Amino acid sequence: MIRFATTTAAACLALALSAGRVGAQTGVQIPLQFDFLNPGAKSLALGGAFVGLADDATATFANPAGLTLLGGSEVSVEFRGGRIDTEFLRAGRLSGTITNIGTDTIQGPAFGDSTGTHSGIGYLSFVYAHPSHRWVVAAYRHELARIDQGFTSNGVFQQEPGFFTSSRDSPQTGTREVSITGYGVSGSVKLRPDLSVGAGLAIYTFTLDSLFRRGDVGGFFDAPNFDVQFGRATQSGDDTAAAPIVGVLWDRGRARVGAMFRKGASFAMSTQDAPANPVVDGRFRVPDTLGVGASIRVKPQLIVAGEVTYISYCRLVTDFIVDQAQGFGHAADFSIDNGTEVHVGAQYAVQRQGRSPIRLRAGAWFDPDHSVHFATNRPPLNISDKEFVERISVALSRGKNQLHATGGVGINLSSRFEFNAGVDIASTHQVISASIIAHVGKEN
Amino acid sequence: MLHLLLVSALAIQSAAQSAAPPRRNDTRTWYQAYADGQRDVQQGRWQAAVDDIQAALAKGAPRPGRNVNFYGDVVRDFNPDYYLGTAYFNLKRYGEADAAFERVRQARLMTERDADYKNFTGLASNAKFEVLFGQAEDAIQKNQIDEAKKLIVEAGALKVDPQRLNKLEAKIFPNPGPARAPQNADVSPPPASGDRGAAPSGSATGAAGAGDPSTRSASGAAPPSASPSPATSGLTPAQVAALEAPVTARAKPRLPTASPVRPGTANRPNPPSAASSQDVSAVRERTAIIDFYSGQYEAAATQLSAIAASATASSRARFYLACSRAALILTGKADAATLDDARRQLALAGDTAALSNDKTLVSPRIRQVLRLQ
Repeated sequence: MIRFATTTAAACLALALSAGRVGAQTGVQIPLQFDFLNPGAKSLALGGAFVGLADDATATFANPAGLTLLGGSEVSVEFRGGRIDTEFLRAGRLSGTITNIGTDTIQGPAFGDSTGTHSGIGYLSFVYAHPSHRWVVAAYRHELARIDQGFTSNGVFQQEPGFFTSSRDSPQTGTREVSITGYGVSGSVKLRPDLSVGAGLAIYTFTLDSLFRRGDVGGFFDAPNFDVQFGRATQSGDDTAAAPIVGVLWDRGRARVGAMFRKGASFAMSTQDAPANPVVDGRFRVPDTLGVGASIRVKPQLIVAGEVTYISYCRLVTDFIVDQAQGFGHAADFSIDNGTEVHVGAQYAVQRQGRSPIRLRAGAWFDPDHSVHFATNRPPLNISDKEFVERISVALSRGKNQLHATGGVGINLSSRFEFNAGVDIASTHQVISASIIAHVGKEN
Repeated sequence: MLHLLLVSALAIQSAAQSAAPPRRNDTRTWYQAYADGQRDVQQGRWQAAVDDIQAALAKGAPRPGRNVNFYGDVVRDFNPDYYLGTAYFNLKRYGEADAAFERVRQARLMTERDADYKNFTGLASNAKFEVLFGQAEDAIQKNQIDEAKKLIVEAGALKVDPQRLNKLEAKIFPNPGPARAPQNADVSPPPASGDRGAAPSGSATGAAGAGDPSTRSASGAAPPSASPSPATSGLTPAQVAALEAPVTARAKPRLPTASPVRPGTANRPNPPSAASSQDVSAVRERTAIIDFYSGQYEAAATQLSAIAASATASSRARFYLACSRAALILTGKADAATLDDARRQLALAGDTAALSNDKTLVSPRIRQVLRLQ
């Protein structure tokens, strides 16, 4: 009994000592993972391999050089719904042995899923094709990213070997909402019968609203009590910024090769790791994207497409990630690997007697781990620092490569209207999409 | 929002379409050139339409067909020959128009279900008519009268512009003159009957495999009252005279050559009015009888069967239908079962007293088969 009381008192002391810094570490402990998928149900169903195909209105964003392929003006609208599960460190004991007292009953880390869902108009565009077929202009609205996370952690238990008692991270709860929507114009010009170039400029609106709170516990092993707030950190931003996109497409009829570079916009944002601390201004930098793709019509009914996309996710680290970890002096130890995605897709048109074909699509793409990682070579300054390293290392250990499987269908509702549907499924991501493309202008 | 975008797009598109700049370095794809060609036709730019459609074909266009993939997932009917034919027709390049329309037919790219079907058939008939008319004119110039007659009959069957045909007929026989012996008539009136030529001379005998022992009439002098049309010029004057009597006038659909012809507009034979339908029937009947006297019994039987299907079919039509079928039997092109039908038609013709002149013109073998008195 005396031993227990001593342990508890020491642990509470450890908890109290760390409370002043907790706000700063909270946000970064929650993994953040963006996916910058091309718009359109067709593109989705083809595994996102669209830079080298670029033959509908969504080329406006995917590769504007492809716009000159269009035979006339088009309006397209896409409905997209998605669900993303993000693992976070929810509970458990990272070191030492569980006591089976109160909430200290899980040996090892226990992760929870923060499930974010969103649905709505993901993409809307109008493409105007000049009758000369030499140039095309387009305007669009595109939801580039939408993140809506929420989580609650009990606060993990830790015990440094040789130290006389356990410590407990303070319970935490938080929400993170990020929305980036682009309003852009693109144009494309045909330089030669087989060569087009395109460029565009998008104005992106950006909102960031994150709130992380630390709560109390009644007793060292008790359940969290968020009525008593230990710490509070926020990240917020509301900005607009412009970013360009350029593309090129070489079209040889059956075969097509395209490339695209899309600059990521950079937005003003601010971080405050505690109400009493100063607000730190920074930038939220959307990754740049470079894509190279090709497509080939193997048979009249069969198209195969592939694409390699390089995304500079590391741009997210500066400010956005780092500012959340300044309080612990580990800012340089956070990183995000740039990603090289590989996309492949195929479309097979099932012919129907006297009717337009039904197009079946399937694809897959490799999505490399681009979650926030933590790794340090610095010797721990003290026990608290050592536990921080352990805790963050475990919390940010769940990122992984993923393989997405995609599929979909496309049909012509009439000579003017097309309907496409697609789905993208990975272990932590599910996206569905449906789009309508209307061919406008005088019908011949 | 979508509606607004659509309306805006339509407005911009239509405004820009009329201002398409001339093309120097052609960077279009085949479907873009095709779309331009379609637009040219809509706007009456015929030569530009020909150029654009041919450019589309030269740029690797797929075979014409239905539900052809244009680009992306855009699937439409690809029917370049229809637009080419329309443009050629309006450029008065009738031969090329006719050939283009024939390709449309061969590819079965126009059926009654297509919105442009009536327009297509009208244009195609007009193109064919112009081709035949021109060929007939050439034949007349070369004094190939039989060929001209054949072409005129063929053109007449299209029922496009009978007045022009009449004028052409007048070129063949500006004045009543000797009718020419039919080259292909395998059933002809007996030498002794009526006002056919006095003496057989130069007549071919026997149809191809006909085995009809009746002699062929030589041309004789046409009766002064008979003004044989080219279509009838292969017949004896008596036959011509017999034919002329019941015919009142031909249908008068007139090709609107003064105005351009576009898909969806009115370039098609005028629909027969109530007044002209009788004329049309008379023309059909006459054409069929010409076929009969020209030895084209199958064609005659086919046309007369169609006429006889009508409740208003004349006794004369039924009479010649019976004769045509009898001739088919005699020439081995129909079996004996046809005889019953032939006799039934004759019975349906009722009192044939009014057709005494026709009876005398018909081969005795046919009369014998039909038990005609």
